[in-house]
Amino acid sequence: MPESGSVELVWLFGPFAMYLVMLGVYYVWEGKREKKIRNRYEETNHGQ
Amino acid sequence: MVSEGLAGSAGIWVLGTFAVYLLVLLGIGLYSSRLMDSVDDYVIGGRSIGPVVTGFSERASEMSGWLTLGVPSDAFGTGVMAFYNGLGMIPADLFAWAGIAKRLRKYTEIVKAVTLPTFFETRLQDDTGYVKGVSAIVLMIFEGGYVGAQIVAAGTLLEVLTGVSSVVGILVGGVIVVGYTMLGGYFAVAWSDYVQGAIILAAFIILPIIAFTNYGLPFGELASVGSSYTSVTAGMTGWAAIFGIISYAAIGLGIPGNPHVMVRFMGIDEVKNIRLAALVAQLFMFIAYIGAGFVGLYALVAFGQGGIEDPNNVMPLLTLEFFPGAIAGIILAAALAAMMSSADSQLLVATSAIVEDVYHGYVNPDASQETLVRYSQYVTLGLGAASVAFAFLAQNTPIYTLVLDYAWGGLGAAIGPTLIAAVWWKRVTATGSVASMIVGTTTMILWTQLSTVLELAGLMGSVEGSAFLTGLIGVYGLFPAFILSTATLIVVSLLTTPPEDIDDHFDSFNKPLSALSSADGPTGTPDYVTDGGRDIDPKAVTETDTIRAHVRGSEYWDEGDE
Repeated sequence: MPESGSVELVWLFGPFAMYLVMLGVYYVWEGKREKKIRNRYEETNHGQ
Repeated sequence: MVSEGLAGSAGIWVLGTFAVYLLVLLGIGLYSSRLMDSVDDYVIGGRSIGPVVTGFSERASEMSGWLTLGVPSDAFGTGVMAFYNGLGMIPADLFAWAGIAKRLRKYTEIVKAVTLPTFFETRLQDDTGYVKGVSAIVLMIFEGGYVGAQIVAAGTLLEVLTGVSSVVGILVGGVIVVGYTMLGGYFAVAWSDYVQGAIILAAFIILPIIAFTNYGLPFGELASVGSSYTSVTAGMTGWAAIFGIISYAAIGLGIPGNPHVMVRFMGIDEVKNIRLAALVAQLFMFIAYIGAGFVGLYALVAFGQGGIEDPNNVMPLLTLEFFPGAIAGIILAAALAAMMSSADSQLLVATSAIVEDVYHGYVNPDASQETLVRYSQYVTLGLGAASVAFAFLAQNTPIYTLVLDYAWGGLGAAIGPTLIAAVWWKRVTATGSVASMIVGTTTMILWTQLSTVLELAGLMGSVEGSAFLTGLIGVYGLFPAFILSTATLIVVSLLTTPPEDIDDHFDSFNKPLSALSSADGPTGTPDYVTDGGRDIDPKAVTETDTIRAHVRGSEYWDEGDE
């Protein structure tokens, strides 16, 4: 009984753990993307 | 037995803390009403709301009585499967922040739209007015229903806790919501949401922790009550389990269509802050959904199966069980606050649909800002009164289903597909959008009544013979409504002529934003006011300002309009 209970809990909270990872990936990726865009512009601007 | 002592034990504290809370809200409303000078300020806070406030208010305004009373009651009734209320909501919210927020914030600034109907009309270059008209009607119906549902929730809570009649509870809730929304508009709403968000969050953290110290983890106890309570499918198997999980996951489909969530994306001060706001909103969501689920489960442990007569009372009863009167009063005031928070946001969205989209758009396009602000207040008052009347009629319907079926789902199915397409698909057309809104609204309303209709038609017997059909008919209506609405949008759009000159707008999503401003002056600093909302205290020039100036300079909107 306790074993099947723990399996159920993995199914229950597994998605939430995955969502947390997704949030981390989004936050880092979005930050890098903004930085890249800004850097690229600064280079272009200095070039002109 | 449990419900008898409520009014006496904590009622005075609930009323006391709620009265203090009310005074604070009135103070915020009065203070911000002095600052208000344009209808933009009234509707989206002059686009000057910071990321943390935006993140909190996006969550607090949307979670509402549904989260504070509905999800715990769902957990009390079904067991651990109620955690799946977050199964679709959390990732859908993340996708909305990642895929919609920035684009919507920029695009609404480009086309100078402060409401979704106006945005749709301008984006889809609709000359007929159908897009704006139909979306405004959808908003009035479902947001109005939403306000009514929140007032029912607030009235029920006041009635249970203080012993006042439900009529008085509903009236008091209605007066508070209408009063401070009228006084301060969105500015008051966003800031009060922030305070409320913090209180709700604290409540959903502390309550399970206290319960844990008393009972330990609830799962062992739940298994002894009944095996279905620890089953992720609530004991269902086959098609019933599949459609049960789909129903929970489909709740998330409502996010892009609910304007009181989307309007938060439009009101944030700077585009780069969206990332931080998303983080705040998502973390809030994890804690709130898991906390709300545990509240319902611990209530099951504490009171036993069938120990609470009205499931809507699960959260207040557990609070009163674990806390002394004063602290319980504060927590329950937070629950009331969440309902007020939702109701005032939704009231404001419905108001803007009427004043900005219908009155300003059709009746009096040359109306002054003073007139628009004044009319916004009148309309808020009128809609609020109508919602209070609706609350009387709907007071016996469970809050959980009332919100999902008649507000959240309707908006999600009608508005969602158009909103996503507007910022992602150049080919979407006005006709496709109108068709999608009509199909989404109709499907959602009909699906909710489907079993009743089938019963009347005498077809229920043949349906019950099939596990698949039974599951399908019982699935949450937003699932089929969203699919049909999206399919309609795609098919009709492909059959009609798309708007022109959209490429430039979509290009601006990916351009380095400061690059756009460099054309305006040698220093790269544009000479127009910022999107901070007020000329007297300009903020740093933001990305959206540069896009707006770029678009204004190119004059393609002027060409499109002529």
